[in-house]
Formats: sequence, C-alpha cells, structure tokens
Amino acid sequence: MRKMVLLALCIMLTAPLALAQTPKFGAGVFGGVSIPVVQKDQASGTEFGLRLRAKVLSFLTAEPNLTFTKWGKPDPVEGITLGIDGSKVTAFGLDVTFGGLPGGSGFKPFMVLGAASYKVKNDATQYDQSKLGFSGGFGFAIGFVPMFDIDLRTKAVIIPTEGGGSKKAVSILGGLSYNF
Amino acid sequence: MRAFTGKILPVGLVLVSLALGGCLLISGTFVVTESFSFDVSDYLSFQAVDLTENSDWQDHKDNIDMIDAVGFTMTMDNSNGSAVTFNLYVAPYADKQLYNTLIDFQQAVTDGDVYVVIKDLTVPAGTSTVTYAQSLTHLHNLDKLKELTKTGKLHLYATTSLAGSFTVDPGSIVVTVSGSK
Repeated sequence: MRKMVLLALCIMLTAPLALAQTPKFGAGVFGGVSIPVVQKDQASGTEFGLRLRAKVLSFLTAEPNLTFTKWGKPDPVEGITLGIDGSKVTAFGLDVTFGGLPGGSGFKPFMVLGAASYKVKNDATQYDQSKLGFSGGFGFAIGFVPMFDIDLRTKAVIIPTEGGGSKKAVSILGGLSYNF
Repeated sequence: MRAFTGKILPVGLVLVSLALGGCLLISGTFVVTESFSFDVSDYLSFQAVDLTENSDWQDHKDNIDMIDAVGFTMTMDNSNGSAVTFNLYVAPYADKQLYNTLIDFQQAVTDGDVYVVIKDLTVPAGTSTVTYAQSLTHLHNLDKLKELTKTGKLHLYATTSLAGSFTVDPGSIVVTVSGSK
C-alpha cells in the first residue's frame, strides 16, 4: 500500500515536469488495408487498431498495440465459389520504431519491428490458431504541432502456422497520435 | 526527408522484401479441388479421391504443413419422387473398395473404420445443390477428415435412405492447405 501511495505521489509530482517538456508519450488510432500474400483462401481486407507510444531512448519508441484485421472473401477457385468470409485476425503485441519519435514537428521517418500474439479465426471453416508472429517495415510521421502526429507505415506480417508454414500479409496503415 | 530516402526507405524495402520474398518461396496457403461423382441407386456408392495429381499439391507434397479446411460442393439429382436422406463418409485410402455391401459398410462404421462427414442431409426430389459454404455447416468428424485428407488420397462412400435413382454429379472436395516448398 505504501509503495502504491509513493508511486502515485511520484507520478503527481513529475507529471507537470513531463508535460512541460517535449512529449514522450502518445496514444493513437490507425487503420488501413491488409493484403494477404500467397493465401488463396483470403482476399484483401481492412485493418484498424489502437496503439500507445512511449519514447524509450533518444531514437527508439515502444508501441504496445491492439490490432483487428478482417480479410476479404476469397476469389473463386477453379470455378468453385467458396462463398465464405475471410478470416479475422486479432493481435496484441509490441512494436518498436527506430525514429519517428512522439512530439516535435516536421517529417520523421522510421523503421518498425514488432512481435505480437496473433489469433487467426474463421467461423465458417472452424480454423482457429493462435501463434506468436512478427512484423517489420517502415514509414514516416509528420508532426504539424507537437501534440499531434500523423503517420503512414507499411509492414510485412508473418504469422507462423502449425507444421512450419506461415500466413503472411502486407499492411498499409495510416495513423493519428496524440502526444503528451 | 533525406534520411528517409537515403537510408530508411531502401533498408525498409529490403527488409520487407526479404521477409516476404524469403517466406513467399517456402510457404503459403493453397486451395486444391478434386472432382468425384456418385450413383447411389442401391443405397451405397463409392469413390476414390486422389489429390496428389493436383499441381499445387505436387509442388508442396513433401511439406504439407496442415489442412486448414475441407468442404464439398455437390449437385444432386434425386429422381425418387420424394426426399432422401443422404450421408457422406470418409475412409482411409486402400487399393480397392473395401466395403461392397451395405451390411459390411455399416459394420465398418460401427467399428470406427469409416467416418461420417455429412450426416442426415435431407435432399428434396429433383435437382439441388450443396455449396461449399453450406457443406461446412454440415460437417462432422472434421479432425478425422483433415487427417485423412492430409494423406492426399482417401475413399468416399455415400449412402441414401431410399434405393432408386440418386446421383451426385458433379461433386468436388475443396481442400485448403498450408504448405511449404
């Protein structure tokens, strides 16, 4: 209990100092398209999510995130219409960006690497797999004012499957972050 | 901007290309189909299905990682004049049809040598179709179906509740495969 009180006091005392300086944290939303790669049972779909941002080092930001993807209906295969919805992918994980720090203004390029727990589910086929997957890509943020960044990024997502294979996709995402 | 075009863009493109390109060569998800037909004029009919001749299957035959999904499409012609109850079964592949009579077949089902995958499907008189999506809602013993499908060859048996003209033509098994190369 005493530790909790001390921690709360520390936060209360240091918060104004943090606010007075360049923002080190951010929270934002993002959305875009997810394009399955070599997945004949899926089509391009939508992706959106939430992320927090924390400046960890002078060049590195950590981004815990929660992402929801819905792939589209597959095209007919050998004349057979499958007629089912694409799979849903839910992921929570951590990205790190090299560059693109929260706050500040101007053009801020960055590279991004991430790991997440991906759950791929298709109600129609009863496919349901959860695995640790990885992503990597690049993008840029533009800070018009220190409190807000917009960013555009693309990243490759690789989700391992049973037996050594993987499901892959490319995400192209736009985001808006509030910095504090 | 200079840092982006000078370092981050090319390095990022290389990373994305390597990640996708490398894995693109070794794994993916493919959909394989194989046709079959049944003439169930005497309660029981048999078909052997061989997926191994399919080019996608052949490309990945040594590295079939998992069967993601299995379903069927069937066009059924029921000339009995009344509704018929249809069942579809799967059995391990063998060199020949193992169960030639309904009694032998029912014993094999009881013994667990044959597994029902579409159970008690009511087929009205006339021509009707079962789409891939519809078949998924009727599937039983999905794990066994996937296990046998992963071997690439399997036996299908069909039964009807009435003896009379009843055909499935065309029928297709639709298999979604995660495989490597």
